[in-house]
Amino acid sequence: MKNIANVNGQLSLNEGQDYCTFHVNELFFGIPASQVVELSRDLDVTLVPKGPVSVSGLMNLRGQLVPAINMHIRLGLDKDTTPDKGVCIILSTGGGQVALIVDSVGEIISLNDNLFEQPPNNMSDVAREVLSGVYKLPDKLLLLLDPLKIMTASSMNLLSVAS
Amino acid sequence: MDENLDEILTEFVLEAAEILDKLDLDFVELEKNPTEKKLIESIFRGMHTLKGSSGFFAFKRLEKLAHACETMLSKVREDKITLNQSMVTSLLVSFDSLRQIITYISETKTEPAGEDSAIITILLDMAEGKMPPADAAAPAAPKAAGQPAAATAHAEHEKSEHADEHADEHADEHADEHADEHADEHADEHADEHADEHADDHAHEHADHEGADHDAAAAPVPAAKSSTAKAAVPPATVALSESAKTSPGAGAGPAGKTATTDLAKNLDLAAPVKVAVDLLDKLMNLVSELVLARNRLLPFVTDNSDLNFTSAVRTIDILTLELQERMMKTRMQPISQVWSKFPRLVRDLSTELGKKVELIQEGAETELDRTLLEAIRDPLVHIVRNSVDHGIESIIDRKQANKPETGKLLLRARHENGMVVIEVIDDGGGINFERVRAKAVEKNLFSESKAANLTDQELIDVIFLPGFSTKEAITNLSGRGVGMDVVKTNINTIGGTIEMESPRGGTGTTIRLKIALTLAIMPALFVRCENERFAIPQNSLLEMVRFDLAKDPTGLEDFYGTPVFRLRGRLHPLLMLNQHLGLSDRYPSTDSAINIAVVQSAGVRFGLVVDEVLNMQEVVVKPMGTLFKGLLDFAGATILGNGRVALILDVDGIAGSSGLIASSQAQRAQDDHMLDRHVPTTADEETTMLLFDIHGLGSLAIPLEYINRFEVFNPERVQMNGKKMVVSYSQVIMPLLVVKDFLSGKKKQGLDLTSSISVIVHISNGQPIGLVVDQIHDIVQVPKKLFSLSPPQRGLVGAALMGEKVINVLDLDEIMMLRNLEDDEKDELYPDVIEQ
Repeated sequence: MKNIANVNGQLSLNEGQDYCTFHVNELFFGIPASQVVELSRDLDVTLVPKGPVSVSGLMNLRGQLVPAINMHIRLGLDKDTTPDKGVCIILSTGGGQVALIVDSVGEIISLNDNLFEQPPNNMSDVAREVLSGVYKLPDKLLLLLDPLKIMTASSMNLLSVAS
Repeated sequence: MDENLDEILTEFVLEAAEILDKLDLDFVELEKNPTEKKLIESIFRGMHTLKGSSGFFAFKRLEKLAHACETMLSKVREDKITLNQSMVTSLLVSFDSLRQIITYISETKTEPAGEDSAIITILLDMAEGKMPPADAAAPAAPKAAGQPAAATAHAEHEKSEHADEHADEHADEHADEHADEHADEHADEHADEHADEHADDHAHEHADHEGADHDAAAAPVPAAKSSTAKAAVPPATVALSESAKTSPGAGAGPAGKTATTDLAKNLDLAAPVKVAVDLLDKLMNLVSELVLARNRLLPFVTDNSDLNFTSAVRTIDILTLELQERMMKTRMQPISQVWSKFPRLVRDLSTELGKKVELIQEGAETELDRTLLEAIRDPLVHIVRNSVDHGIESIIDRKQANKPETGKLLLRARHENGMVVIEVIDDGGGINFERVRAKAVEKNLFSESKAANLTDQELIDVIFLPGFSTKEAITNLSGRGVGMDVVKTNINTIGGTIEMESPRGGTGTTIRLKIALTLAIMPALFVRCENERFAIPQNSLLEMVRFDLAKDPTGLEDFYGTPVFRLRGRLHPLLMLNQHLGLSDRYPSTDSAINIAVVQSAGVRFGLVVDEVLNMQEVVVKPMGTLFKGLLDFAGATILGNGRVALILDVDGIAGSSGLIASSQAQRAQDDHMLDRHVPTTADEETTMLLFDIHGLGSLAIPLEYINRFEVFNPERVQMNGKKMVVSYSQVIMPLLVVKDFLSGKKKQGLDLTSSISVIVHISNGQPIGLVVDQIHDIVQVPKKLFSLSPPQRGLVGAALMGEKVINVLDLDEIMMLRNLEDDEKDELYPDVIEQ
């Protein structure tokens, strides 16, 4: 909770925030590390027919059913429906646990608030829904994802048309 | 401090509710046996406890009312008056107000405003006309309530009275213990009763006086009382010989004895621990996981020869099983919890209706899951009401039918194959099938000719349709038209079934509910479809059929676009699971054998075609989570022994989403709706059309009168006749016409011969023509008024609006004309002018 508030710029703490970073395609993303439960290479996902397009299916995380979200599709990057390689980042959000399937996971970095900027206005709708801002790193940009929005935002609710 | 008080108050409300529930039963019992001492005793004690604890919270109204009841009952107990019907009724009336007050307290923590003086006066009058202390007590109490200063003194007194009660109880217990030791317990009890009575009476008088002058007289009273109570113990043994002589009838002795020992035993056994339900649920979940973990462990035993290891696994196996069973027990509660309300309900109903009904309960100890118990409460109440109202005849009718005056209503529960079977059986007049038939026609559920052919069983099914109720006069008991359909829906939602039997001849009706023991774990059949495993809940599974299409003379048949197969002379629609779930388009070829799971939803039987039948296994149902909320096809998911997730099919949902039950029921619901709103029939403004899809062209419709049949053909049946594609169709050659080739905006594509072909058969000049479409949906009502298209499109007459949806209506005449032109190789005369 504290992190989200912080990201939105309502709180300004001097010590940096920890972010877990990962890659999807060539993009570099960050997510508050405090919400990351674990990383897993076990990609045994059971397909849920007729489910939302960006949800690959359900995973078993020690007896808990966790929906696995294919970040490629979720972020509107491509339509690759079968992620056979990659890493699962298991997050704990207000709406329950969720697994994000990403290409690779980077290190955890600590970032200071003065590097933060709001997303630009002309960003695409999907991106606007899930991105809460950007951190200016020396060599590249770190796009900050809002974990709760990934699961709840309206673009999620597009059920795939039986085709 | 406040919190503490709240807690005590909650406990009080719970306790009061328990007392009221028990009194409910006792009262009805009492009416049958007005002389039964034990009952009067039990009611008296209940009222006494209620009065005592309500005084503790200074709930004056409650206290006064309870006190009035108690006063009257004490007279009954002392044999000064005998109980009659009107007395019981007024006791019940006051008892209802008590319940109301307590409900109010539980909601607002304060007593409702109001006066019960009318009923109190009646009660007190009944308790022997003008009883001076009672009269004094009634006006005295409100005065005390009116003076805030008195409150503390009063509360204090009440506390001490509460304490007395404990002393009282203690004395009782003690006496009981003695009773166990001594052979003649009845005498003991008798003595105890006497002692008790004296103590109580003393207390009342003191209390009343105290209420009147509310002096700090609290101290002497408890002292006096507890001494009396304590003193009651020794005389109990002394009184042994005396009451043995005077004991009213030797027969009452043994009965009294068993009752007390049972009570003592129950108290010992009961000693419950209150546990939060969500904690129980969590434990239940953990145990379920443990069971699954054990399942994963078991295969290792067969591969491993280490004896120590195998024996350790066996031990875990046995312990887990035991743990699972015990855990299930924690959630189980006897059905008597629901049934306990019924004696009163039946009594009230039968009195109101002027009927005589005897309620018999069998198997009240049968247990089922707590949540299920909640879910069946209302449906059962409805069924019992129906049975008393509609089922059992009036006394006159019963006499005419040579039946005993008193009707019998039997509630029976038992376990059967992991299900709980609950039966409500009455010996009434049974279902009046002819009236059901007439009503079905009247309510527009069936046409007259169709209704005439309905069998008895089908008529029973009619009763479960929405909006059906045969009772002419709407009583305030039943007959509001929300009837058995709601019951059925409720039972279905918890995975249960309901059936009704009523043999002709007026011997009565049996309604049978079958409900799974628990929702959390259920047996399911695993099937494979493409590469996925799915579980079909056993309770919706009727049978498995392996159907060899090559050997069967009929094979898969087509009935209006739906594949069907015959099973013991009955047609069952088929649903290809792979197609329904969008896993693949594969259609079984004519020489293959298919596996069909015959399932049932809302009375509709259909076959699910799956690729392979795997095994039967108990599964733990887990919700799939909010992301899959809109998915009707699955009831949840489960985790398999190997750790993989498998989805559990929801047969009702599949039947709904595939239109197997929705179309017929929606049609009926629509009919009802129209009846309600007195909307004129659809004939004037609407016309019936068949809705179908052509990919890329959206929803299309064709007037039903153009259509002869629907068929689905296997592509292998398509043959060439010159340049044209044809199929052999009931002994003639039927040309196929690919509709999309004739419509604007679609380039000629020919026929996709990789998947099954949906065909609308149109008879033109006695010659069948097959219109090939992509997918046939449903028959719909479409407004006759069509919007013309601008610019006009080839092959379309116009468009209709169905709600928000635009439906393009096919111009079959034009298409036929185009086809004939095509025959003459003059297709180029109609170039695609309007390319999109």
